[in-house]
Amino acid sequence: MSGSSAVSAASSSPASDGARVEARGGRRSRIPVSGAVGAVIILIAVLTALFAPWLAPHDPRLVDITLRLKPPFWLDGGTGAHPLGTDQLGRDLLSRIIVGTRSSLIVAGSAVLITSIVGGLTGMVAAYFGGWVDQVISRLVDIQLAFPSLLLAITIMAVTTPSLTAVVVVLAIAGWVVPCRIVRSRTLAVAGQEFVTGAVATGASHRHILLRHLFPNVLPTLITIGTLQAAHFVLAEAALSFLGLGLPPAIPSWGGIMNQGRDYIELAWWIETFPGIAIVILVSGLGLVGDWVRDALDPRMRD
Amino acid sequence: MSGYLLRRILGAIFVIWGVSTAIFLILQVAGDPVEMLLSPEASDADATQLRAQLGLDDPIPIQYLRFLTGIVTLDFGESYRYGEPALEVVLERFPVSLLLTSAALGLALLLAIPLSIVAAANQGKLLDRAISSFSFLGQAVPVFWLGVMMIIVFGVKLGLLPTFGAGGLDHLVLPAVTLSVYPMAQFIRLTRSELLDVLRQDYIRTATAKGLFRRRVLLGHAFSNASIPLITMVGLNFGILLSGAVITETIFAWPGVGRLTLQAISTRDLPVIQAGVATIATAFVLINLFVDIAVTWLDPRIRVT
Repeated sequence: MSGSSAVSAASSSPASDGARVEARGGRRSRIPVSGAVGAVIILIAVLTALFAPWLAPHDPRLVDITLRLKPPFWLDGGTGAHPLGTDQLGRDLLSRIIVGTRSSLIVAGSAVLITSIVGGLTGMVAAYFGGWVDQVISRLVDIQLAFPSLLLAITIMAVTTPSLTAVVVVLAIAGWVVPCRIVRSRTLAVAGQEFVTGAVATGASHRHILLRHLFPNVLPTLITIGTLQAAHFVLAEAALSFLGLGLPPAIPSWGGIMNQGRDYIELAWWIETFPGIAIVILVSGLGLVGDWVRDALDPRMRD
Repeated sequence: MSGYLLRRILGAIFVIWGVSTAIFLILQVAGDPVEMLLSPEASDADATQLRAQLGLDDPIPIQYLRFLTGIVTLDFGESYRYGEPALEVVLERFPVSLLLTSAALGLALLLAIPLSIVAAANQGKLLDRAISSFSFLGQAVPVFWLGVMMIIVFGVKLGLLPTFGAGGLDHLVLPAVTLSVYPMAQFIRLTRSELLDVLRQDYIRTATAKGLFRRRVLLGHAFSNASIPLITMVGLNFGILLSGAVITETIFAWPGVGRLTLQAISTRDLPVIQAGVATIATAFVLINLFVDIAVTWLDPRIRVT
């Protein structure tokens, strides 16, 4: 979210060079393997989130002290009933991770929706109207880019009561500048073209020009940034929850599981290990799809 | 050139003002720090007295003016917790953070430069795929998870390295390695793709046709051109690392500005939060200002635009 980091957050896949050549070859290029892998990961994550209560083998909130700190099934003392072991309160780790998928996707999805709308709108408006509107928006963006986004999120969260809404809003506040800046420069490039001048000449309203002529042209850019930003938001939510500044403990989340298990690091490595692996898989999936979407929709974004 | 410089410096001052104002506004909604400072038995009269003593009962514009004067005169007030000037408390820990950040950045560059050159020289081959995959994964791994894994493997299981606090060089290893992975991954990705772009240019073909050794072409011609975006990236990462160090410092109990700021947040030590965030943001702005100037000086093409 700081500067270009969100766009580049997870935006290089081993196969992207190949995909770039394919994308040049024709509009309907074959789906690259890496993009397909990413899409499958996201699909699995979405399905897991949707059907979490049925997929989880146990109630993720069920405390049973007699079962506390059970290791994964392949270690001595582990059981098949709790394949990934249990946490310090005897809750089933696998079930908590499955339900935690929901938190990650809901937070990242909502935050991306807000930043795309707010960032896209302000970026288009700044470029289209120019003048003092552009000055105000651009200076605001400058200031925020100088404020490392994680620090901004931490500072705001520290003074807010933790809740799902608070996390989404804070991530959106910290992240809207990225689409805003890129959409602004893309709109500037489009706004000077003849079809826009033509629309102005026929007396079209600002609203009409913005929505019908400019918006379709910045949409591919918005989708690309949105996918890459989603990866960034998953990481940011996990980091905040890990610091105890994100989702409240009552909502199972990957970062939250790790936050609560931190004191048991010497006894139970699994509590810290498995949620992190879930994060790496989801973020990789979003990154792979982000690269694919960029190469297919918006090859210019590579620069 | 001097006009450009002046514009950049004024811009930096404006941005620091904006960031400070943002911190002030955020902390205004933070709630009453007095409740955190007093013991539960304290009476309302005590609270009122303390509020007056700290100047918290003044109207907000007055507090804001005092805050701005404080920044200009580098006086953020005294830390509620340490009883010393807040900026001193922060600056005392700044070298410790700087050490960690520089070590991480140095390590990242030290490995990223040769790896990206090797990857670009072997484009599409197994070695390139391995390095590119590493760089992709490095950006998907959360830094706090990596830190905890380092502690479990090298501290708890193997007992090889200290995982807590600052001390000898061995204390620096785990936090620095943890913090270096993300920028390393970014540097590899950027430098590799820059190198590949440069290698397609005509003058590289000329150099190769002249019969220069491949090594000479890669290092002498290609890398020197690919290094300018890398310098910009290093500047951006330096600031991101300073704030990213909040997490690494907390995990490894590294006594730097990031950990201090996080602790100050949980104890509502307003002067220290303001001084800490302002210091990190100012360092970020100044480093990028220097980088911009350095890049302009190194690359005459930018001066034109």
